[in-house]
Order: sequence, then C-alpha cells, then structure tokens
Amino acid sequence: MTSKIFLTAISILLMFTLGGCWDRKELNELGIAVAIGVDTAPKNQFKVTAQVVVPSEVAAGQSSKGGTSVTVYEEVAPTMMEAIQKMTEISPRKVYLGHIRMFVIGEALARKGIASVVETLVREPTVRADFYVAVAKEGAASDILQVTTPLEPIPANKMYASLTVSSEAWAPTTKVTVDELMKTLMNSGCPVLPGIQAVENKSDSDKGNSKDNIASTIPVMDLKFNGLGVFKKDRLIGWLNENESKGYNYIQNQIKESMEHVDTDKGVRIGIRTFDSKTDVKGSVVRGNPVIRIHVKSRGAIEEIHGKSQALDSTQSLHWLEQQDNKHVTELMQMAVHSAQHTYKADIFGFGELIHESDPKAWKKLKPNWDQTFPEVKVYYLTQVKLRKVGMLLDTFQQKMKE
Amino acid sequence: MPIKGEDERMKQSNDNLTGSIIDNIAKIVQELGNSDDLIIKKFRCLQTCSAALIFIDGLVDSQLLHNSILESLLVKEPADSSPHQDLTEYLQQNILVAAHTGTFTTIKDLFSRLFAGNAILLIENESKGLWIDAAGWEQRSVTEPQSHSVVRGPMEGFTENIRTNTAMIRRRIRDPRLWIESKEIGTVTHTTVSFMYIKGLADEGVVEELRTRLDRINMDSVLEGGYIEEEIQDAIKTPFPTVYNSERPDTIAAGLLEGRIAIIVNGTPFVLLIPALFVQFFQSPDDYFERSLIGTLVRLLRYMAFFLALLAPSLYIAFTTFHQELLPTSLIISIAAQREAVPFPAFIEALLMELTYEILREASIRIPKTIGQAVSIVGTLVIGQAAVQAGAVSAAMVIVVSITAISSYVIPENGMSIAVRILRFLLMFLAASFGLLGIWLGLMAILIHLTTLKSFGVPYMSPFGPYIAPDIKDSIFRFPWTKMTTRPAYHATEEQLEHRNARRQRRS
Repeated sequence: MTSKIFLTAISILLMFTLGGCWDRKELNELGIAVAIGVDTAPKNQFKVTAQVVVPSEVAAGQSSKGGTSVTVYEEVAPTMMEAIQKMTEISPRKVYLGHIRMFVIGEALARKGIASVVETLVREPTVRADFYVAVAKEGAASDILQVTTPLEPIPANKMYASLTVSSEAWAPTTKVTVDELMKTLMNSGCPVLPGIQAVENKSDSDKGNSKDNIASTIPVMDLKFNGLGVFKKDRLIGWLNENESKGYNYIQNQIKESMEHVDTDKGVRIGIRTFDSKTDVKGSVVRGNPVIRIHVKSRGAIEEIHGKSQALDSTQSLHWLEQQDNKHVTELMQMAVHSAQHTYKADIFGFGELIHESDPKAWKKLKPNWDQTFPEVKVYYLTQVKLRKVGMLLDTFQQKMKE
Repeated sequence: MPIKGEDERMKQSNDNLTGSIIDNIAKIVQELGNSDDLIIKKFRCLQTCSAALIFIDGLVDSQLLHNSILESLLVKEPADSSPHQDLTEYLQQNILVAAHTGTFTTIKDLFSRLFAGNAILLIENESKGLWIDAAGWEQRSVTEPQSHSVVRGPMEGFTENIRTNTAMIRRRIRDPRLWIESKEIGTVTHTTVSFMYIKGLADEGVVEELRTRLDRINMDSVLEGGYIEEEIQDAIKTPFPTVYNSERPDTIAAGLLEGRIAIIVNGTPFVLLIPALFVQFFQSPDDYFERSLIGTLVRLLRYMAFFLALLAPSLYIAFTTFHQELLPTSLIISIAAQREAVPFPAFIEALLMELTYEILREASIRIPKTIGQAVSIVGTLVIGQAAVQAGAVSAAMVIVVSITAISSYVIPENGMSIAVRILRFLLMFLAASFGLLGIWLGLMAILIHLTTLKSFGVPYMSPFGPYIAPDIKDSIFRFPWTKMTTRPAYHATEEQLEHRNARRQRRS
C-alpha cells in the first residue's frame, strides 16, 4: 500500500517535469507586438518592423514616465521570423505575436507578391487570425509603424479602429482580415487591400515620430486610409480611387452606412445618408456568355439641402430624388467595374466564383480563359434606394427666407 | 478510544445498591472522587425513615427541588402507615405526583440519572433508589441562527439542548408518523444521539443502514455532530461533504418531508441530514420562501459563484502565463502593465495572495470581537491598495482574490465552500504547470470523483448523474410549488404523497 502511494506520488511529480512549463512565459517577459510591418530589403531579404507596446505607458492608473506608448524594432533578415527573433538583440523581451492588430505590407513588397509573408503569420500558432492587413501606399511599412497617434495611444489600435469605423460609416475603405485574405488567395481570386498613408500636415516632418508630434491639435503626421489596392493574384497592380472604392464596397455588400450626394439639374445639391444597404449579386451564363446581375437595395435619409428650389412635400419629388440617387450609386459601381475590367483586368469582385456557383459546367469551359473573358462580362445594375427620412424639417426653410 | 483502566471502573459501578444509605453514599462519593458539586442532603423522609437526596449542583433546578420536592418529602405524613406497601411505590404515587420519577437498582443507573440532572432519593433499607426529574440548568435560549441566515423565513435556530431541538421539529411536523429513535454514544460522554424520520417517507433501508452505522461507532466522546458525521459518511477520502447540516429547524423539517433522516446530537445546534446530494448544498431556505423565478435565478448564480471560487485564480494563472493570445488585446496590455513591477511569476503571486486571504479569513474567525476591527483594516490594506502600490502584486490579482473570496461565501453550505477552497489550490498547481489543459484535466478528475460518490447509497450527483427527470424540478431550478407534486424519487417508498398545495388546488 505504501509503495503504491509512493509510486503514484513519484509518477505525478515526474509528470510535472515532463509537461511542465515548457511554454510558460510570464507577461512581463513578453514584448507584446501590436503591429508588424514587412518591406523588401536588398539581397532578397525582408525588413520587418514590429510595433511593441510599452505597457507602463498605456495602462490606466499607471504613472506614465513620459515616453511613447509603443516602441518600434526593425531588423533585416532573410526570413520574417528570423528578423523577429533577431529583434532580441535590441529588445529586452521576446517579441510576442499573439496580439497583432495590424499587418502592414510595404508597396514594393506588395508588388512583388504577398502570399508567402501572409502564410508566415497564419502558420504561427500564437497569432490570432483576426488582424487587418493593409498596404503602405506609396511608401514603406516601417514608416507607417513609426507614426504616433493622438486619441488612441497605440498606433496599431488607431489603425484597427479607424479602419473598422471608416469601413462602416464611410464606405471607401474596406477591412480585410488575414484569414479572409488567405481564403481569397486560395480561391485564386484577386484580393483588394486598403491602402494606408502617413500624411504630413506640416513641414517639420522630422517630428513625426516623436511625442512632440501630438503636442498640437493637428499632428505633424497622420495615418490615413486611402483607396483600395488591387491585386492580381497576390501582386499589387494598382489602386482604386475613392469613388471606385465606394462602388467596390457596394458590390461586395460591405456598406453599412455611407453619405452620397446628388446634384440636381436646378443647381441644388442634396446630401443623402445611405443605411441598411444590402447588395445581391448573381452570376449566370446566358448562351455561353457570363452575365452578372447586381441588385442594391438600400434606404436613404435626406440630411442636407443646398439650394432653395427643391421641394420635398410630394411623393413625386421624393421619387425623383430616389431616381437620382439610384443613378448615382449605379455610376459608382460602374466606375469600379470599369476600372477592374479595363484598367486592371483583375476580378476583384469574385465574379468568377459566382459563375462557378451558378453554372459549374459552363465555368469549366470559362475558367482557363477567365482573364480574357472577365473584361467582357456583361454587368446589369438594379439600384433601389428608398428615401425613408427627411430629418426634422419637411421643406427647406431656405425657401421661406425673404430675399 | 477507551481510556485505560476505564473498563475496570465501569465494572465496579455495575454493582447493585445495598440497603444501607451510608454504604451507598460512601460508594458514590468515592466514585466521584469527592467532587464538590455533588450535594448530599440527608433527612427524615416523611418523618419516619432516614433518607438522602443526592444531586449535582448546577444540573438541577434548585428552586423546584426545595419548594416542591424536598418540602413534600419532609412535611407530609403518611396517610395510612401500612407497612405492606412498598415505600418507593408509595412515594411515586402519592407524594411526588408532580415530577417525572422512576426507580433503579444499580450504581451505573444511578450515575446516568445523576448526570442527566435528576435528583436521587435513597431510602434506608430500600434496595431500589428513586430518581426525580428536576433537571434545570443555564442554557442558551432559542436565537436567530448564526449560519444559514435568510432574508425571509423563520428566524429561530436550534440550540444545544436536544429536547428543545426535537420539539422544534415536532412543532413543524405534527404527524404521528414523525418517529424518533435515540441512543447514547460515547463511552465517556454518554451523549444522546437521536434520529428522526417520517415513517413511510424515509427509505427503510437507509434507516436500517443508519442504525447499523450508529451502532458501529466506538468513540469515547461525541461533542459535536461532526464526530458522528465523520463516522457515518460513505467516503472518507473526499473533500466533498456527504452529510448535510443545518442550524435551521425549517430546513431540517423540509429535509424530513423529502424523506431524509435528521440526526440530532445533544450539545450542538447543528442537526445532520442524510442522504445529502450535491445539489442540496446549493439550496438555501430562501429559494422556497421567495417566488420560484428568483429562486431559480439565484441558484444559477450560486453555481456560477461555485465555478468562480473554484477557478478564478487558476484561470488567471493559465491565461497570463500560457494563453496570452486568448485575452482581448486591451485587457492583456492592461494586465501586462500592472505586472510590470511584480517580481514574482503569476503562480507565486496568486499563491501568496490566496494564502494571505486564507490567513485573514482564519484570523477573523478566531480573533476576539473587540480587536476584530483592527484586523479587518490591516487585512484590507494587506490584500488591497498597499500591496499593489508596493509592487508586490498586481491590481488584477487583487480583483481575482476578492472575487474568489466573495464567491465562496455565496455557496450556502460551509462544507461545500471548504471543498472548493481545497480544490482551488490543486487547480492552481495544475494551471501553473499545464495551463488550461491542466485545469480541464483537474475538472474532469473532480467530475469523475463526484460521480463515484454516494451518500447512504444515493448517488451524490443525482438527479444529474444518474439523470432523474422528475427531480430536476428542485435542482438547478426551483419549480413553482404547484409543479412540485412528487417527492424526490431517489428512494423507493410505498407512499407517493402529493404535495399539500397541489392537492388543495385540485380540490378547488
């Protein structure tokens, strides 16, 4: 009996040494990276930038020592992970990738191909797959990660939050998480990624990466999402402008809320808020030719009227405005489709997938030549905006003002 | 364990009384070793024969003894002095009519009567002694129970007196089927242990099993119900209590009505209840006194608190040392900031704080009430702001310890929260070595252990494992009384009494 207890005790103790603590890491031994940037470097190497949180500067109630809330490490190495491990040469703590919010890819690298760097991060087991991917438009990722930001002390969080908010409340950006990106690439689609730029507001740009930067109301440098990068397979080939990006988001059913405006022929400009927008895209093959039908249903609210002559008191006038708004939204989508079909010849909308779903047999024939066929695809638009709200006033009081 | 030489002495006291008062008294005094609380009053009984009244000072009501018993024995003259009638018989029937009396013949009986608070009357030339019930001593009156307090419901609790306690139960269940059986346990203390059950509701098998288990007890003392509990419980190697106890007569009465058996031990206000199930330890009398909806919700809250009290520190350890990626980014940064200055690993930090809390808890129970205030002030400083500011622990850890401590008091039964306290440390070790995997393994082990437990043959985890559908009504849920129409099904009884309320409703 005694020996049995003894043996059990010994085996339990041995168990602790076997499984014990090999991946145990205390929080204060970790440098929590919130953003990772990758750029090309000479000799076929990568320049990896890691934005690491300085916890004592961020948390509430802790006495700040007046430093920046993040610190940035940069290393050049033949592989990404090598570079990250190499950062321990500078950093007192191991860079921990579990909490990345943003992954920024330099434009130069994006033009060479992003598949392998995306895979590296997806392969890493501690990384959550819900961070956003963006391309440093006309610049390097390392420059983006160095910019400090007001309001959100952690720049990566700022990027994450403003991408979330702007894609929901202002349509031309779109948030792409790494798993979505990987899915698109695997399905041999053409992804789009939001572009991010460090915008200089004042001339003394050398202050852009210091704390002085946020000492004024207008920071020396701002991070701004601008346009959508169009990829052919995994290579960046160009950018969509604001209107095209908006059109792209309408087609992708990614609009939650946006602002449009309609210029009437009488010189009146009317601002309409779009909400509850829903897009239905269907693909089909008609006599061997692929056809796409896009049906947008949304609701609108009149928010602004600049001019006197627009009446809102009759259903006709509202119908007329709806027509104008329909036309406007359709135009946005047409611009996006035109750009994709003719400028870039990249199926960023996933039309191929839709045709595949609706008519797999025809898709087999179309697939080999899809790059050639895609620009010829006929796209039909149907936009139905319903004006639901006119705000707190009916007719504009500008009419009643005495001249 | 019997005391050495005790058997020998016991044998002596088995001797019969002799006819001589002098001899008997000498023997009693010798046995008691001249203890000065033994009072011997010699007098002439009914003014005819010499007699002695013997009692223990403090165990008898001296007022009663002097005013009625002694007086009537002294003053009254025999109505007819016919010698053929037995004098003790005559005294019992004609003189001591008010008091409860009886006779005995051995010294052993004499002592057991003497220590029960009876006065002993020895008469010259009589081989029988007479005991007169004049028990009366200082005792605590019925007060509000210290544990198991409720917002709404009866406010009286059991006392140390077994008679008061059985009476309190009988007052609630006025039915001849409420049976009571008593026996003396403890070779030195001779403690009265009674068990009560409702004939026809309680499982006969369990009653029989209890009888044999009580008979098996060989102890020299029973000073609290806990002695009995440990002797009769099914499993010893478990942190979980398999015998329920309560200070509340209403809880015990409810248990009896469910077919359970109450064990009342003289000298303690805590009455035991068997068989006890896991779910019972999460039930509070309030659940039944308040409306059923809040009863159910509060029970859910208690189960949540059970898991919090069990797991909060170990989850903290697992998350901060193994699975940082599982916490939201802003939370992990905030915890990281707090841990910046902390010199210990999370496990040591948690262990320190939990131990500090356990020490404080233990101290606050033992400490004299007059200086209790000081301890609580110092204590809050130790596990509060000061510890954080000193950089010894992180603020998050203080939150974890606090929520653990508070949660453990939500469990209504102290026995269950003791089990949680023990297992919490085990799980902390597992979390520190294996992370969430360790916690999961620990929980599985606890679950397996729980399902193997039995309380007097009833599976501890019923009605969940085994699943007994009708009993779910009073487990995590508390169904309205109208839906509680059957007795708990875990024991087989002939009588399936419908609930009183349900019957009343059907009639109207």
